[in-house]
Amino acid sequence: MKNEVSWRTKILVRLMMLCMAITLAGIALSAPSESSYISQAATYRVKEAGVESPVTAVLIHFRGYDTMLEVTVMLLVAIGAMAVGKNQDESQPALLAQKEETLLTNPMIRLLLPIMLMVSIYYLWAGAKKAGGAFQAGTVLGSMGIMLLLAQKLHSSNRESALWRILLVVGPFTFVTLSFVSIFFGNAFLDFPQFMNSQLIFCIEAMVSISTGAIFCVVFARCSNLSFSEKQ
Amino acid sequence: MNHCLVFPVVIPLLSAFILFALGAKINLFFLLFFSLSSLSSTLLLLKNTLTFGTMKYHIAGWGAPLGIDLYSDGLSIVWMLSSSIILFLIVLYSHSYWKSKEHPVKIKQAFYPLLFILWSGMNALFLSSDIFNLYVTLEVLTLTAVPMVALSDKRGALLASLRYLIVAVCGSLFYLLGVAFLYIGWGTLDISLLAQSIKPCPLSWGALGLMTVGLMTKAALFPFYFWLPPAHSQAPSPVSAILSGLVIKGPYYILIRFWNTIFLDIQNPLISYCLGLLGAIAILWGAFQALRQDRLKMLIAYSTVTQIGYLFLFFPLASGNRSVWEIAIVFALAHAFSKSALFLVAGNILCVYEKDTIAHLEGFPPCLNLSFFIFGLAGLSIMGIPPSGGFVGKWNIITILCKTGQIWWIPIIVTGTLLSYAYILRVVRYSFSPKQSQEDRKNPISFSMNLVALLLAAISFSMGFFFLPLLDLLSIGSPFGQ
Amino acid sequence: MNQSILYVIAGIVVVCIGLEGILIRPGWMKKILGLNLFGTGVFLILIAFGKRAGKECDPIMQSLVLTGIVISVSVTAFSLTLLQKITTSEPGAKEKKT
Repeated sequence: MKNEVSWRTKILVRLMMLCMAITLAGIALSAPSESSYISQAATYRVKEAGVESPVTAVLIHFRGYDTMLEVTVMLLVAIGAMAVGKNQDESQPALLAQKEETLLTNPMIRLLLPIMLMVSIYYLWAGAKKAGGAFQAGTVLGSMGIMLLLAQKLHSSNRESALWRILLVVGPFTFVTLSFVSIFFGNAFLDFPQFMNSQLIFCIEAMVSISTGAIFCVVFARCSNLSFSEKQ
Repeated sequence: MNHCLVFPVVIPLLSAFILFALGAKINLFFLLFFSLSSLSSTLLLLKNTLTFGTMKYHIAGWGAPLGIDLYSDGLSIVWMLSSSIILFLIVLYSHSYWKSKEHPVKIKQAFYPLLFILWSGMNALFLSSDIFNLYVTLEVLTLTAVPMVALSDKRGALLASLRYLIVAVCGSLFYLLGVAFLYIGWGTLDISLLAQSIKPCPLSWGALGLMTVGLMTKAALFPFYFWLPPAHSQAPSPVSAILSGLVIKGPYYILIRFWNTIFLDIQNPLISYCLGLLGAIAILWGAFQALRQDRLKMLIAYSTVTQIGYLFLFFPLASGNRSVWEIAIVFALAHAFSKSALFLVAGNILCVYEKDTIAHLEGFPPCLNLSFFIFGLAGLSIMGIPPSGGFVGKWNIITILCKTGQIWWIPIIVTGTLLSYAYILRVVRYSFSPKQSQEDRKNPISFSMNLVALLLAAISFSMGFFFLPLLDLLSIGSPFGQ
Repeated sequence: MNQSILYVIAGIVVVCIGLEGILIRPGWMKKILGLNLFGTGVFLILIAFGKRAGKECDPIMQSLVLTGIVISVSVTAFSLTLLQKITTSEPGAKEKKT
C-alpha cells in the first residue's frame, strides 16, 4: 500500500472536500420543494399493480427490470468470491479449532433454526403489504446458513458442489425465465399474465430469497477465516 | 410491440446462468451454442432496426415516466453490434487460451459466466433509456470487470483489481448523485422526457458536473487514469482485451448519449474545452508513458490512455457541429477492435514466454511470426495509417479543426501520432531483427487464437472501407440531430 | 426550508467524509469503509430529497435506494473478499502466523 500521505496533500484534499460540500449544499438548497409528478403517479397506480405497498409495486412492477439486474449483481459477487476467495488448503480453520460438538451449539441451533425459518417466510409473505420481501427473507436465510457453517453443520466443498451452484443461480434464473416467458402470452417482458400474476411473483420471490441466502453463505465462507471441507 | 429489444439482454444472461450451473462441464459445444445465440439476438435486433428504424419497448407495459423503457437507434445498434462481434470472437479465443497453459479449473468456471453477464450488461447499457437503469448496468459492468481482473491469481492483479473496484464505484456514486439531482428537479428518470423538460439552473449544472466527473473516472480520462494501466495489464489477456476494448467505452457511450439529449441545451463550451484539454494532456502523457514501459501489456494499456484522450478531444469539436460525433464513434470502434487485437497478441506472446518484457522479444521463435504481423496490422490503426479506422478519425479531426480555425489542437494530434508510431514500432521492430537459432519449441498457440486476433485487427484496419455504410447505420433515428 | 434539507446537507457531509477517507487515508480497509460512507451519504441524500414535500416518502426514491443498497452491499462483500485474499497472500504472511 501507499506510504503516508504528505500534509500538503491532506490539506489540499480537505479543502477540495469543503468546496465540494458547499457547492453541493448550495445546489441542494436551490432544488424545488414540490414533490415530483411520477411519485404521485406511482402512488395512485399502485392498485393497478395488484399489491398494497407502493414500494413493492415500484420494485417488482414498475421498475422490476432494475431488480432483475440487481439480483444478477448479487450473483456476480458469489461468482467472483468463488473464483477469487481462498482455497480450502490455504489456511487452517482459525475460528473453530475443535470439531467436537459443544453443549451449547446443538440446542441453540435446534431452537433457533425453526424460528429463523418462520421469520424468513413471514418476511416473504409480508412483502406484498408492508416492509419485507425477497431480500429481507434471503438475509435471514443467509444468517441461518452462516450459523450452520459456524457450527460446522453445513459444509461447502472447495469446488462448490453442483447443489450449491444450483442454489446460487436458481433465483436469478427463475426471475429472468419467468419474465421472459410472459412474452409468449402476448404480454410485454416482465408483465406477468394476469391469471397467475401473484403466484408467479411469489415463486420468483421465494427463489430469489433462497439464492440470496446461498450467496451470503458462499461469500461468508470464502471471506472468513474458516475453511470448509467435504464431510468426512 | 417488438420483443426483439429484450433478446440481447435476456439471452446472454440466461446463457451465463446455465454456464454457471454447468460448472466444470463447460465445453466448446455449449460455448459455441450460447455465444452464437447471443450474437444472433443482436443480429436480429439489427435486422429489425434496419426495417423499422428506431424502436421503443415499454418493459412490463408501464411506459416511460413510471416504468423503464428500452430504446434502440443507430447509435446503440452500432455499439451493440461491435461489442457482440468482439465478445463472440473473444469467447472463441479464450477457449484455446485457457487450454494453452495450466490454469486452475475454478478460473474457467468463473470466466465464462462473468463474460456472458458482461455481454448482457453491455447490451442493457446500450439499450437503456432510463438514467437509474444506466447506473445499475454500470455496476453490472464494474462487478464483472473487477472479478475478471482478479482471475489472474497474482498479488499484483488482486491489488490492481481492488483499486479498480474502489475507483469505479466512486465514479458510479458520483453518477448516482447526478441522477438524484435530475430526478428531484424534473421528476422523471427517462432520458427523452428529461431532454424535453430540463432547463438551465444550478440543479442541472450540478447534475452535469457530477455525471461528467463520474463517467470520466470510469472511462479513465487523464487525471483519473491511474487505475487503468495496472488493472488492464495484470488481467489475463482475453480479459484485458475486453476491458480495454469495451468496458471503458460504456461510460463514454453514456456521456455521448447525454451530451446529445439531456445536456444538449445546458452544456457550456467551457466544459467541453476542459474535457478536450484533459484529452490533449492524456494523448501526450499516455504516449510518453507508453514509450517508457518495459512490459508489453503496460505499453498497450498506456496506449489506451492516449486513445481515450482522442475520444475526449471530440467534445470541443462537437460543440458547434454535432455530426462530429459520428467520427468520434467510428474512432472509438476502431480503437475497440484494434486494442482487443493487440491484447490478444500479447496473450499469444505470453503463451510462449513466461514474462512479457519487451526487451526479451529479441529473436522471437517462428511460431510468433503471425502474431507479430497481427500486432503490426492492429498497430496501423492505432497509428492512423489509411485505410484504418484510426486514420479516418484523425484525418477528420484535422479537417474539422482546419475548417473551424481551431488550429491549436493540431500540434498535439501530430505529436501524439508520432509518439504512437514510436511505441508501436518499439515492438514491431523485433520482427526485422535476425532470428537466433531457436531450439524446437512446441507451438503453444493454436490456430484459432491467431485467427481471432487477425480478424479483429483486419476489421479495424479495413474500417475505412465501410466507413460510409457505418455512418448510414449510425444515422438511424438521427441521434446527433438532423 | 424544512427539516429534510438538514438531512440532505448531512448526507453531503457524509459523502465528503467518505471521499476524504478514500483519497487520503492509508490502508485498504479504511478506503473500503470510506467507500461505504460515500454510498451511505448518497442514499441519505436520495431519501431526504424524496421526503421533501410530501407526507409520505416518494416510493420511487425508496426503491432506488433499496436497489442501491443491495449493490453497495455486493460491492463491499466483494472488496472484502479481495482484501482477505490480498492479506493472506502477502509475502511473509505465512511466517507471521507460525
